Amino acid sequence: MKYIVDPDPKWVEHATKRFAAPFVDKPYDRIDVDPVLLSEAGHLAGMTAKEWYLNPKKGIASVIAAHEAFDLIPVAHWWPTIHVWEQEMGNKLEWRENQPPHIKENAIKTPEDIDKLEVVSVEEIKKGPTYTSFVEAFDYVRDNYPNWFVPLYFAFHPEANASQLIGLEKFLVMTIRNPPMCHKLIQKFMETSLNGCRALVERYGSALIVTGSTVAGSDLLGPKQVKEFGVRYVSELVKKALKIGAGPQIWYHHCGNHAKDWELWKDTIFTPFTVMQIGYEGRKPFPLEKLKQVYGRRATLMGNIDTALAFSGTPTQVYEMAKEQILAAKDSPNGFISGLACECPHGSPPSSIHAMVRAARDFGRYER
Amino acid sequence: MVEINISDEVKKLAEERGIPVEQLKEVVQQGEATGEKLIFEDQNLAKKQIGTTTVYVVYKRSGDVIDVVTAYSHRMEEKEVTDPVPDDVQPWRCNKCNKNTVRASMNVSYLGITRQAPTMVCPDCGASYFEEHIVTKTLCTAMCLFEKKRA
Repeated sequence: MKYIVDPDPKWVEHATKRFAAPFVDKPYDRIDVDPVLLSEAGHLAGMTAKEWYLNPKKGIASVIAAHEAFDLIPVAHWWPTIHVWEQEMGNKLEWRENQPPHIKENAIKTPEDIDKLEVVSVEEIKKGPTYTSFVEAFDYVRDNYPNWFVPLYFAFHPEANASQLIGLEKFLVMTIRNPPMCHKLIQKFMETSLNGCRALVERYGSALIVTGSTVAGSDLLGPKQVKEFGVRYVSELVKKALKIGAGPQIWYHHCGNHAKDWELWKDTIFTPFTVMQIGYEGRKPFPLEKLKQVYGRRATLMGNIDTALAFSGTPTQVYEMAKEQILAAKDSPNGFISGLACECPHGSPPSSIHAMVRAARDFGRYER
Repeated sequence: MVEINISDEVKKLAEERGIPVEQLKEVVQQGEATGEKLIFEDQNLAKKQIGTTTVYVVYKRSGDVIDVVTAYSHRMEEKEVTDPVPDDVQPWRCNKCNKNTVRASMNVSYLGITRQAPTMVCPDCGASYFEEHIVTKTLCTAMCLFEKKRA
């Protein structure tokens, strides 16, 4: 069953060329825009967040419709929750009408429980909610909208997902009092997540790798700990995912404040199709001039318009911030995609997305 | 006189990957003649640029007998190596410097597009080599995407 009108093939062709531009050094009409529409695409289609997350086919179809309607990138990203692969390890989730799912009960209670946690096998992963939801969404796109078919290996953030298995506060205490158990926990989550990668690559042949960091940032850990608990595992995860057959596309999404650790991530792995995004420096969007200097030749950069502004700012404010970022990064050596710093909040006004696209049209021509 | 053995299985793999059998021998001979190769346990990894293709061969040597284990190649231009990560020590060791390689990035160019790819580099002499899966999966897919998206 098709939930949406087939996207106009002429638009898809045009959008595909535009999307390819930064990756192949072939300037097209303007830079592209990705406001990271997830359940907000469902909101625009009249769905609650809960409906969007629990209905993979309708959810991903709403993303396709929104991306065509607003002239965004021709890629439909959908994931069942950021707590991917955690339910398989014992976490219990709860869905609320207009928020992303959150943890109702952690898989383990004490550091001693970590020894009892088991890496979930590929066969068990295939029966779990993360994999089956992804398959439902990606099969639907492959069968109905093949031009939009880009399967994702949504890793997501090894240290952050691992922390959710025991609870963030306990995890943070462990980083100081019991680092070896912390490593053990991250390792077990990462290996489970990689089994998810194996299952997806087995089914689809490849998958875009989505990873990065949240807990391993400047609000919760010092740079030394970010290196120990973040950079190390993101590198290992990507290295192993590439060996499994995922990639070469990688989207590094470093969520939140990375004021003190942003340069450390250059020690992770870069492939010919890598997108780099760092959310914030303190409470302000991370300056793209700085990002460009360190990462401009390593990856295609993605913008980071303040998500709070997209939710509660005026269209003019969004437009001005989008303009500022485009002017700062449009000449980045490996290209630039205008975007929000994180997922577009559910319930954001459509005028925010329009303002981003308008800024890209007004100021987004590549100069090479 | 060194004898280079190439099993039917390796010949088939090389054929599937578009690598002439003579080139496998050429790469092995260069690795042995110059000593420019990596070593891991009983395996050797040598490479040679032949025309626009860089051919990699993994082989074992026992006395005067060499058995080819696998081979892979790519058509990207290998350029400068950047960003060595000293903490990320790789199992392959540089034969000339007797130092383990570390992970780094290599700039690679194809169709005029230059991007990075993960590689192994000797921290002393700077010799760098791609692992098999990086070439057969990451770089080969990237080349296809460059061709498709550039069209």
